Amino acid sequence: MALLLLPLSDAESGVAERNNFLTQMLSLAEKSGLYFVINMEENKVQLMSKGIVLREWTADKMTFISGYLPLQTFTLEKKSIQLDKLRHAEPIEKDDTATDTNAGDNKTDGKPKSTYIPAPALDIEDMPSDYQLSLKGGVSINVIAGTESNLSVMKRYLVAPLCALWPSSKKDGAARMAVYFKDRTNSQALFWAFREGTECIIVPPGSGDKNDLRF
Amino acid sequence: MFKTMHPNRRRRGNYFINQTPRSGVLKHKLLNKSVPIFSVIIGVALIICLILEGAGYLVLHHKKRLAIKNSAAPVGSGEKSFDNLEKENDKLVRQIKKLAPSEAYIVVDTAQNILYLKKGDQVARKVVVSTGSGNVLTEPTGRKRSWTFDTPRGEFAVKNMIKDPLWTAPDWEFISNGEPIPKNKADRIQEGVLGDYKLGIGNDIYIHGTIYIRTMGMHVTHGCIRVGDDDLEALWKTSRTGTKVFIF
Repeated sequence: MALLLLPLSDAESGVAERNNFLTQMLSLAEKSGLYFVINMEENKVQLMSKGIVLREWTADKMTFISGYLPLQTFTLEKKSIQLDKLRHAEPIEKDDTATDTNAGDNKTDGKPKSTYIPAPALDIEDMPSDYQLSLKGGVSINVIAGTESNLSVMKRYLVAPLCALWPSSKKDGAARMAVYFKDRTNSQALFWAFREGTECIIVPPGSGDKNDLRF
Repeated sequence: MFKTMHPNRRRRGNYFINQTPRSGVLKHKLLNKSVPIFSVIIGVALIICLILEGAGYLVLHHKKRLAIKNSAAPVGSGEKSFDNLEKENDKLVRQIKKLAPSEAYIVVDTAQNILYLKKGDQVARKVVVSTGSGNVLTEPTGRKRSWTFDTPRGEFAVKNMIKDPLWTAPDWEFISNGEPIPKNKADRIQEGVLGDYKLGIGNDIYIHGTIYIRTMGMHVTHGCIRVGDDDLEALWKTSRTGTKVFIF
């Protein structure tokens, strides 16, 4: 029944959507720097520059929690967890009595010198796997390592349609999306690569033929 | 009074007076009556739910289609006819493809400390490297300058290529070692620590060799990208000034 109710996308709107996608892709590719394409149609997140794919992550699922988006470019405003806060910002002063082979080299004029000991560098394993990306315009993306919970599925399929009939829901709130990665490393790698200020194109699901929006 | 009663009522009265009510039978009768009522109630509720769900689904779907339609350029308006749009799309694809590097380029994945030498979609060489530690050094005295040892991310190009490079140690090297900053430039120069070649990508960031081979694959540098000797030679041979370097 649902299939019968779906309006079919015609060839014209497919071409128009592709035109919009390519126009935005060109405007980002012309700029110097990296950008992302979040393709909800194919469950893919691509890191690109100059029209070439530098890295691609395949998500297990991408869904809208609420609201919908037109195909357009967004800028990452902030992440729910700040990388800088994960780092040890203050240098540690080495204890003069520390048994270090270079300890003897650290003295001048008989006075002990303070030596900078770097904090252990952050690796990809130190990155969070569950976080939220807030884009300009109020759009947010929840990145989750794992599978979608049954409660979330029920909310999406049973509660959301009922809520859509509620008069207050006619005001379109900002879209909220969820991206699920079964492999936690992918989620962490995306956190590492997606930096504040980076632009991204979000291709919503149902945006015509897959080939229309494949570059 | 009894006689004036309707015969049906009398019969019913008799039933209650003369017969002992058996609870099982009564329950059975009540159940027989209530089951269809409950079924009807549940059925109606289900139908209402289905109608509401269906209506809600349609509303959601309409919103979604509206959002997608809004994102598409209007067809048939002005000069943008269907044919024109198709031609424009082909032109856009050509324009985007022109922007991609035509020659070999370098991609550095700082998360995994891997460098890829690529041509088109093909990986010509995959190399384990060392990249920035991300540590912060603040000068304890004086100007209290601060350095963050991050490998910069983004799109760069090889700006200069130097064989047998010397390292002119910057101020942070002395500060981090707790040594006085030399006034004479010659006191900063160190030989052999950068390997045989260095490729500059701007802002004093280089792709160079190293004597610290054991730290390959780790985040240990002050921002530069350290490469092993053989791989560095391959990079040197393939690169030229202008070679694109993408770091993420």
